[in-house]
Amino acid sequence: MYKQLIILLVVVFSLVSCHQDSITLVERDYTTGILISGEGSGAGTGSVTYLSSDQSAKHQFIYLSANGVQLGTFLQSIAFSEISAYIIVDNTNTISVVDKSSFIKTGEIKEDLKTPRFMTVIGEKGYVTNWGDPYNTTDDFIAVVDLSNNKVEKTISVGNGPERIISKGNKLYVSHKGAYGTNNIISIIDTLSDSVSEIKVEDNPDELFFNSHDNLVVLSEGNTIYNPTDWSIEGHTVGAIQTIDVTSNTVISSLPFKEGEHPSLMVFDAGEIYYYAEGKVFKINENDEVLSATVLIAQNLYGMDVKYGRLYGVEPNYTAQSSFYVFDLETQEQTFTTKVALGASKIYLRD
Amino acid sequence: MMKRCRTLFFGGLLCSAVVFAQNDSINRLEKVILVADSYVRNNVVGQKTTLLTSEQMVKNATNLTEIIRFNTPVSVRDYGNGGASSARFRGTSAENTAVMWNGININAFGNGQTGLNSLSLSTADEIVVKSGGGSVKYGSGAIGGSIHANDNLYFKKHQNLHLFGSYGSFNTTSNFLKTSFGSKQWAVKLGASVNKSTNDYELIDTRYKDEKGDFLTNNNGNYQNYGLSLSLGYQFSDGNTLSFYTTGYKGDRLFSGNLTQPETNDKYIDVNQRNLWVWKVQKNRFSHVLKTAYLTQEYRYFVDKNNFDYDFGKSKRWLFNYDFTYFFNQNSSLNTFLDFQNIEGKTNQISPKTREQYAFAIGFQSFFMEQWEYNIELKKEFNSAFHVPPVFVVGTNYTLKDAHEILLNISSNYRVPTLNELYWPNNQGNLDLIPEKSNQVDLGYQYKNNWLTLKTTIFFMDVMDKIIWTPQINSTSWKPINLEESTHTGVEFYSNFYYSISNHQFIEATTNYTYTMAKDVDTHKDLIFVPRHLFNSIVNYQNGNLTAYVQNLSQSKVFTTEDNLNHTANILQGFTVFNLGMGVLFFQDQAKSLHVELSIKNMFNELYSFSVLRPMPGTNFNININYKL
Repeated sequence: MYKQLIILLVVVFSLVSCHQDSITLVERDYTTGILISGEGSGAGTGSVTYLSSDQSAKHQFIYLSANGVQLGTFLQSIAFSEISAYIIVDNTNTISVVDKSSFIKTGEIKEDLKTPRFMTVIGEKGYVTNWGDPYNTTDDFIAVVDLSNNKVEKTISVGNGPERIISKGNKLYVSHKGAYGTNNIISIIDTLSDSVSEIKVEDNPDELFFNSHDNLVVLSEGNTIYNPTDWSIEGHTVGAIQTIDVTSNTVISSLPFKEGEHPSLMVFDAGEIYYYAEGKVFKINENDEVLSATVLIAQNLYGMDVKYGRLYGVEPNYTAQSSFYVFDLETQEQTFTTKVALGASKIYLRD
Repeated sequence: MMKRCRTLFFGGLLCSAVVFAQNDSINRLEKVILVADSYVRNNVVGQKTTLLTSEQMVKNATNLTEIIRFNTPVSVRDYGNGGASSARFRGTSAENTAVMWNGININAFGNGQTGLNSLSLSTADEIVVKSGGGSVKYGSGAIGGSIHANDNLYFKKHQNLHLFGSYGSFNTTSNFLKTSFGSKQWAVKLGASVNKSTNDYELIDTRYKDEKGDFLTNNNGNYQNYGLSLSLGYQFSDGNTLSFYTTGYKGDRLFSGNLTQPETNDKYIDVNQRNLWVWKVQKNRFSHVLKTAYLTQEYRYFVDKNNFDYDFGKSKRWLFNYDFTYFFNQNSSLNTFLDFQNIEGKTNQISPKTREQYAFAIGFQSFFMEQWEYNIELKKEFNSAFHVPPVFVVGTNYTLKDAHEILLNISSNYRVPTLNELYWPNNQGNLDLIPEKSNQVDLGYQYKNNWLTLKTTIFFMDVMDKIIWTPQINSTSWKPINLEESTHTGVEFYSNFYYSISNHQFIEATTNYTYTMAKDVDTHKDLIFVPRHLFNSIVNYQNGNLTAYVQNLSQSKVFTTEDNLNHTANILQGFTVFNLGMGVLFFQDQAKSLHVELSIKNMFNELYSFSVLRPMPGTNFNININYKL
């Protein structure tokens, strides 16, 4: 009987024999193609998936395979300069700086960030939106990073919940989605004087871009109002696509959504605005005066982009790999799908 | 010393031994020892139970997580050493494990779980780990299995004192005091525990280091907790006892980060208080047990330990239970009970909610022949919030020859939705949820002789309508939904081997091995964080005054994503860790003893973890003093 026991012990030990997991570092060129960032979850950290332009090659966990270590959770967004990619992980208050083509880490921005969200680059400076403490509505700021030494050189105080940030000339345009609360402003920051002015839009502005008339187009999601005692829905404020003349800082057009319909994604390509609301993608021309009633594509999406007649989208999964889709805009058919990063949220198309 | 090890040995055998025993001997035993939850100890039919005595628990005195992990067939998932931790039987969820205190289910109303690091059971006299469902007796959550802590009262003239203290690496100290005294009429037991640690161990993963090239540290893992318990019993006459159990606990912990985020500020406070009154009358052919209990729980979660703002959850629970048994003769009995509970819970975001539940159960237990015992039990619960299906259990033990026994248990079980699942803020709660249900079959074989005990169980379980938090369209909100079905198939194996080499020398080995195949019915993928192989063992050796032990825990690789992506980023590697202890027994005389022991934990500095990027401590040391008077 001892013998059997000993044999059993040996068998069990060999079954569960221990080995440290080590990663063979690989150096690849990710200059062209598609990058998909995943936020990560309790099942795994944030990660980046690479797809070649024709989707024939796929590499998962490209930060891990280039550096041997993982990113934190949650990977919020990635910004790009001439030579670097800046990977923003909001929970860890860290921006990992990597070489834009190899994804090998070259530095880190760690100090003076608090819940960083998005970043844009003007010359040698990076501008990062920060929520601060997401529950605190008065500690939000833009961190100005000197990209030559990866240090935050100063901060600019702004209203609650700064989210997306884009630049035009020396000016920054920031949408205030409102962090864990709600907000309804676009901040305009003059980087020469650090002066901040605000434009009021509909509630929870998120995605924004400049159209071909150099007007700023903003997507506001609208807010859902809950009854604080039983959390039933008490009402909604409307979402809208609004166009702002940035010379006079006035809203010149406003296309409201139906009450209770909350759009969440918007991209601009060749004069067309593609937007997503509640499981459906629609398209309007930048000069249109009403929203579209025609569903272009019906698909749950959390991130999307459009280029060369194709629409790219991700449907996230936080407990397994997410789904990535390519649609042909001509036929509106899905032409490709594959599994990508855990909690996939953003798509970056590179040339 | 022989007496001590014999006690230990027989302790290990007890759960299998009792099934051979006749009712009258149990009754005789119970006249001296009063066990609040005597059912799990004596009357479980057709299922495997594992008894942990105080002797086994002190080997892993740091926390309950370690006790369960190193001594039972149960897999424990945690968020770093000392962090949130929960037990999972046979690949089921934390909500499918019922934790019982003196027979009362103490899973939280808020999340349906019991955190193993927010509970101190070091002063319990025994922990019984029951594998397999038990909803008929133990209610919601007893799907995968249940963990029972009992405080025993002794109605005989006695006076005992047990003092335990340990100190080791990372300023970890675990201490308890337990005293009991009594007479034929009175029984008193007092327990107190204090556990503390700065818990700032090095995270020994060579891939993650700071700018200077040093290991990162677990620098927000500090914990301290205090427990007090009192048990009182009065025996009016033979078989007529009144007892009262009360316990309070306060835990204050910081929640550490992981390798990619070592800097955190989270803090968590638990305060629990439990009271139980039991009146037991056993006369002629009738047995009545009247119970009432009042339990309160509260947690406070601080996003920033330096800030006064916190989220909280609170609950209070009243329970009344009347249990009646009629003995037809020595071999057959009819049992019935009525149970009423009133639970009220709230959080800073959920206004107070009350749930009332009534349950009625009836059971019959008998011996066909001397060697064939069986029982049938049925229960129906009525709940103010939703429909609860009726559940049943059929169990049987058949003794082949004296030493061999075949067990069979078939049962259905359930887990009711929790406060959070029903009422989570921002319209994320789901009032349409129904209870999770399971059906299971356990087939066991047990063998024992003077030096060897073997227990094996083959189990099959089907868990339906599992409540899963699922992202909604747009992914901004999550809602719990009755979504998944899973099957759980496997084997549990237990062995205890005792060999007396000479009068002064013995060796004892105890092992648990669990093979679990838990699959999602739709995707056919393995459930996440479920190890296929789980093995633990302890070998105790004693020669005169010198003692030694080697303990080990092995777990195979687990997947962390539901699509079972076999990539290093989404798995936890399998591992084997060893602990070693050596001690000196300064004296031993009857129940009195003084033992001092030095332990080396994780001897080979193995890098291992139970959640993504949260390594457990490397090699560490502690010394303990175990004094019994």
